[in-house]
Amino acid sequence: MNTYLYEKDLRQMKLTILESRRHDAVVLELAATLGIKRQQLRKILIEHFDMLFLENLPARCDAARETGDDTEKLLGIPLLTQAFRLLSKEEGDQIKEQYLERIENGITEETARSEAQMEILVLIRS
Amino acid sequence: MSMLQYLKNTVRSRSIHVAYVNVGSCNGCDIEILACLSPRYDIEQYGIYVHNNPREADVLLITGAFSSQWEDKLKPLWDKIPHPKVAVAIGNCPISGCVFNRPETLVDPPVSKHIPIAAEIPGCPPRPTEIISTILSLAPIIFKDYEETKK
Amino acid sequence: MKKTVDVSLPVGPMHPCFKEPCRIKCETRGEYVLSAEVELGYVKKGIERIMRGRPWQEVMFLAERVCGICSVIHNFVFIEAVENISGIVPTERAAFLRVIVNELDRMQSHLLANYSYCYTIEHETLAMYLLNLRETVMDQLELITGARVTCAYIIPGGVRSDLSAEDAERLRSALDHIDAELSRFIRIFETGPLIALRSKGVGILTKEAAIEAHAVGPTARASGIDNDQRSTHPTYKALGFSPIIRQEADNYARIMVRFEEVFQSTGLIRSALAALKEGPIRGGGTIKAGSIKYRNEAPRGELLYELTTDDYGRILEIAIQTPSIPNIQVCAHEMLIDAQSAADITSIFISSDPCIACTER
Repeated sequence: MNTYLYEKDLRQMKLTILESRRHDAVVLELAATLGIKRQQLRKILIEHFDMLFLENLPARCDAARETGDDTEKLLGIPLLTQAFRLLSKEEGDQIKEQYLERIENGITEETARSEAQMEILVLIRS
Repeated sequence: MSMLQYLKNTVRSRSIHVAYVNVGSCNGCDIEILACLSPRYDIEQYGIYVHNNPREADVLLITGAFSSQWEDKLKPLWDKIPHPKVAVAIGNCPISGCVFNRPETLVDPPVSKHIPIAAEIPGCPPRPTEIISTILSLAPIIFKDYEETKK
Repeated sequence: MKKTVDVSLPVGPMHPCFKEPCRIKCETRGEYVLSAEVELGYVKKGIERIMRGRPWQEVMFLAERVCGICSVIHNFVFIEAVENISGIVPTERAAFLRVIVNELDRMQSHLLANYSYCYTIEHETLAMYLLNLRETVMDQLELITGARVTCAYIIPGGVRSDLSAEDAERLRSALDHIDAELSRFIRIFETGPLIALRSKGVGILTKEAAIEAHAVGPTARASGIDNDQRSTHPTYKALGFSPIIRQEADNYARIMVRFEEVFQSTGLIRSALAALKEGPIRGGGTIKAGSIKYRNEAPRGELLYELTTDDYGRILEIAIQTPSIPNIQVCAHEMLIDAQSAADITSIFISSDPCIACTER
């Protein structure tokens, strides 16, 4: 039987990377903006990215924090599109527009935000 | 000694192929191995060639304190090297783990748990001259009359 | 990661061109690279985990062993971070001696990086010239600090040993030798037609991608980003430092930035030697509790230490962000894409001066 040479389960090693202090801080930050648990976000990250990208997450977040207006920062759009690359630029803009539209239609900020969070999660998990 | 063995001894004494593998070192020992290549030390005047290809190597230089990724990889790598072969541990890390062998660490020294080590060069890192002299003094012991002593 | 094709071309973990083990899995169509993924974990030692809760005297040596190539800067940044927490100021002579040793370390690191690149594009002659020149630099490092690698020269409040006038003279003549030799090698590199074919226009890194990934050091400066932490460091400011920036953004620019920085380093060492006044090399002080984020420029780029100490001089929390992390990441995910041949994979990868030991710690 043929076995794959050097193909190993990387999940444990990816988790070790994410447990480091600076990584833990950015994961907690994004998990709070998305309204999910840290473990759930870690699972998403481990599924989506290779080890090198995970190592670079804190530095990418430092770069991404300098961009975006207040609404985008509240929804975590710069982090999601630029640093984590979980959403494309267009998807990020769309979510922001929908959020602003809802607030104009008289929905409270909190509900609008949780709806935006749901949309983001659906997009990420698709 | 047969004629064939004599011929093999002569050839082997001037042609030692080296591969180095980093199993979790800090790079310090690796750059000292690289420094051996420089015209200052000129490792090739002794007939030592650094190819970094295990399939044509005679000597495997090991640096580093054995990280978990290598657990299923170092043994196959060692098996790929044709006989006669020898492994040399460079620096403190493969011998004892050096500063990395502490609580909470992710490394698992010594390397001799996984493959047979013939010589150890302590130092953090050892000097290039020490690396060269070790290879040169080790090679005749292992390679001379290899076929006849094996019987 | 999501795959677009089924075939992936693995490079590594053991590869003749790589100094260290890492595995690049490139998805290719023919030889054209579609995407690349890097598998690490081969040198993960967990240094930050070991450091936690240990006294600074131990962490100082561990910090040096994060990376053997740029060991001086790790020592430098860790000690200056601890000094900044405790309000210790190094003596004037020690501050300049630190810069001299740091610049020597930068020179040998850049020469080694350029050696690796020349070796990868199979210009072995130039590679060996550069490696031999590096030995001259290593001799000077040994002359001042007493060790070639991991010399633990910088201590809180000062440096470990003094530089005699005789040694300074030797250092000066070595610098002249390096300048003369290096300008010859740079001419070889600039005028080589085959070098240009392998280097110019290969591995383009756009400025936007570099900023997005937080690229630092020569990799970023070759893409036209003005990012050098040395321009905020007080001792470097006193020496009149200004960063070197190029706009081409390809392999050639990255190598040339490193060559020019070696010249800049010799200049900095000369002015530091001229500014060196007699005086004590060690101050005193005690380590206090506090926390800090401290940055300085390593040979490969911005190095960040984020640490918390307590009153007994122990390191409670520490996080190290090394320059290789963003540089290799941007290299693997931006530069390698659209590489025209599999032979370019290694040369592009080496041109970003990857240091896996730094990346994984």
